[in-house]
Amino acid sequence: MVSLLAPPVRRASAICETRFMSDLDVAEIGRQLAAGDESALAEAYQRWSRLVYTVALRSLPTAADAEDVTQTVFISAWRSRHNFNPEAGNVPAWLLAITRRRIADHHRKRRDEVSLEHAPEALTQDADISDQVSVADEIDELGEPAGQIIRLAFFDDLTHQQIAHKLDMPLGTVKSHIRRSLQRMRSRLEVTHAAAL
Amino acid sequence: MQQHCEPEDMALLALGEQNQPCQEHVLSCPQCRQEFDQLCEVVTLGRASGGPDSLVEPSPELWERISSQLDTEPVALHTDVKALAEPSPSGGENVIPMARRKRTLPRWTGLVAAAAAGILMGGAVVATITGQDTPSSVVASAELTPMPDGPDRGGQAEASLNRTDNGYTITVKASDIQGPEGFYEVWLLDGENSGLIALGSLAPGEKEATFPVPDGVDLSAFNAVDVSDEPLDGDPTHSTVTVLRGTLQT
Ligand SMILES: [Zn+2]
Repeated sequence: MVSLLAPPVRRASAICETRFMSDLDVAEIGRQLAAGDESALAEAYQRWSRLVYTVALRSLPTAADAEDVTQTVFISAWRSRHNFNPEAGNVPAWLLAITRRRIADHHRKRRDEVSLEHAPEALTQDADISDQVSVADEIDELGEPAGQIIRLAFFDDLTHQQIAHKLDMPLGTVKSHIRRSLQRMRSRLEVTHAAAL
Repeated sequence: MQQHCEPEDMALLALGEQNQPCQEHVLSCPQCRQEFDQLCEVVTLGRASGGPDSLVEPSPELWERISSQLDTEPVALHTDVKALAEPSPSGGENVIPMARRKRTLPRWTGLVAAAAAGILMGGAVVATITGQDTPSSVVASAELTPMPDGPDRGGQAEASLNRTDNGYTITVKASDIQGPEGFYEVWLLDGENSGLIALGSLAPGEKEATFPVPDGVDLSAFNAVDVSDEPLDGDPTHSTVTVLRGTLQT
């Protein structure tokens, strides 16, 4: 499915958009996975194991727990691939929904063991973690220069004028990238939330 | 009231940049306020996330652990895998390595794997090929019913063993079965319940699914069809929650 990826084309206009992976590629992985293509699972792992593992790592006490959950998530995904509807959802959102269920299982097991009272708290926290990591993953998907612009705005706290100056870009280009990138991240969250229901 | 904020101004406002007119409008316009709150949530989450560089790769061995379990479907409910490990006298010559099988059989049967240990396993699901299968004839059938001590999910189900040009297949037909809690997995088991072969999974509400039987399986021993409810826990062994079972009869 990588072959579907056209080489990034930079247009000199304000709406140049270079992306590592288009929605089309994501949908294609979903279709192939649902059809039982094992290479699609490998592709999904390559692409989203960091997402799943990072969420697990931030939600669970040890890296070993996080690896166990990650392993379980991908095996679950493979074994329940017939339940995945590629027309209705996308693979990363589906993987995250499975991840959150497995993490909740983990918490439940521990709660049974030590009878913790703050389980709802843990669930809210898990939702936040999965949202945060989804947004981080989406930033990774933005391609350049959008990804760099967002990094500068998010993590270096630069204003759009400062970013335009630093990258030697028109103000309008920077503003447009910021708007569209935030919209992309918002859509990503919406899909993630829809799958978690 | 001032006209709605420009989307780009709103995005910058969500990032914390100053824009007095837009800010005042957002405070007084429910529509823009909603949009603005959502963008703020994105910005807050993004800043709290640590960014893409903070995402962590799992150890390189993890994929090996996962992929080794994909076709390595459960073989034994207890510990007796001998029945499968030793090729049966009748079908032993059919036990060929996966690589050869893949070349000689259509794609959908190629997933049936013989593991390194020489143990036969099945993991393929060919529900989607129903209707474009090679001509087949039913050689045995079974009514599938709940276990006396197991859950009763209602409905009706039957299984048939079919002979095709490419070997045997099992077809499961089900109607109005409730559930599953996890997912339904179809198994072939021998009369003494000492060995199990995973055939594949049945989607909720799926009315009919056909699964290839791995070559070399002694069908005189593996003559019962079992449908289990499997939790989504990645554990490839039988959950021991049998929802339906029946013995194939000619
Ligand atoms: Zn407005």
